[in-house]
Amino acid sequence: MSDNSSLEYVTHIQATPEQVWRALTDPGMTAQYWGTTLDTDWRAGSPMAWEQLGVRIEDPAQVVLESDPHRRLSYTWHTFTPEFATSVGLDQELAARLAAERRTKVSFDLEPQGNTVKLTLLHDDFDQAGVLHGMCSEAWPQILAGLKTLVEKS
Amino acid sequence: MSDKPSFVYVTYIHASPEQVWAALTDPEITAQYWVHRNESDFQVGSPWRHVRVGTGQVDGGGQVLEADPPRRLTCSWADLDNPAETTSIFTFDIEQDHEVVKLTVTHVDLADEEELRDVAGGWAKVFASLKSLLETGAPLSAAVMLPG
Repeated sequence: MSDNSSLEYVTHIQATPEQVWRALTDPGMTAQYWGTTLDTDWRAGSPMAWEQLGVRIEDPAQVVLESDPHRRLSYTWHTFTPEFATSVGLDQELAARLAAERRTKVSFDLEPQGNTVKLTLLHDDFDQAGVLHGMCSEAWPQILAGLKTLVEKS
Repeated sequence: MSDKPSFVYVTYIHASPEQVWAALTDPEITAQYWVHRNESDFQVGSPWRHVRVGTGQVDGGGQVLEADPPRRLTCSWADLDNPAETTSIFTFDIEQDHEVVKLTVTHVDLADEEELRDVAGGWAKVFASLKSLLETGAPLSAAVMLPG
């Protein structure tokens, strides 16, 4: 159980798969609960630009891996650029460590269960000895709690 | 150090620590989102019982090991056929985090990987239902909470 190469988080949302899909992909919604927008056409193989705190991150390696609307979404994680590190207040040492770690990927599975959706996040391919796994373990419950609140409110 | 599996699950709820504490310990509230009444006076050393709504079937229970309202509650989960035998222990930690409450469950001394999978799936549902109830007034449906 000390495997730090991946992390999984499950929650259940009172909504339709279409509403949860929209919350994962619509920049107007991700901005509200994540402070992040993802600029892409959500087709498999398409590039993605990330924007957080006014910093735009572009890299050809940031791509949509799988896109099966209302069922499954997967994409590679963003590059840790110096501009990103500055905007979120990372010190130089931490920024350098993150920039050196391998690129991770996330996938979301949406399964309807009665009048709810079971949302499963799998964040994978972490460097076992890296620092990103711990940071994401802290962040995902907060991000997905925010998504659930936003979707159930609307 | 125990080499038995353990499980940690965290959620964030727009509510006060007192509301979250009440939602975990008031059988009238647990009945709404957990399809079970958690019956106990929640004093250290007291027994607690996890009683299914409707049928009254006792699905589990154990002993209250630590109670610090509205911050921390630790209970044992005992073998129903042999109540003296503690099988696992879970702790709820309730922390104010700006305008929300961070609720953590830490469940330790699980028997094996199968029980780990079961409790992981269970806590995700229970906390999702609790969060929905406190934030919207509507828990997850009983059909989702008790499948099959």
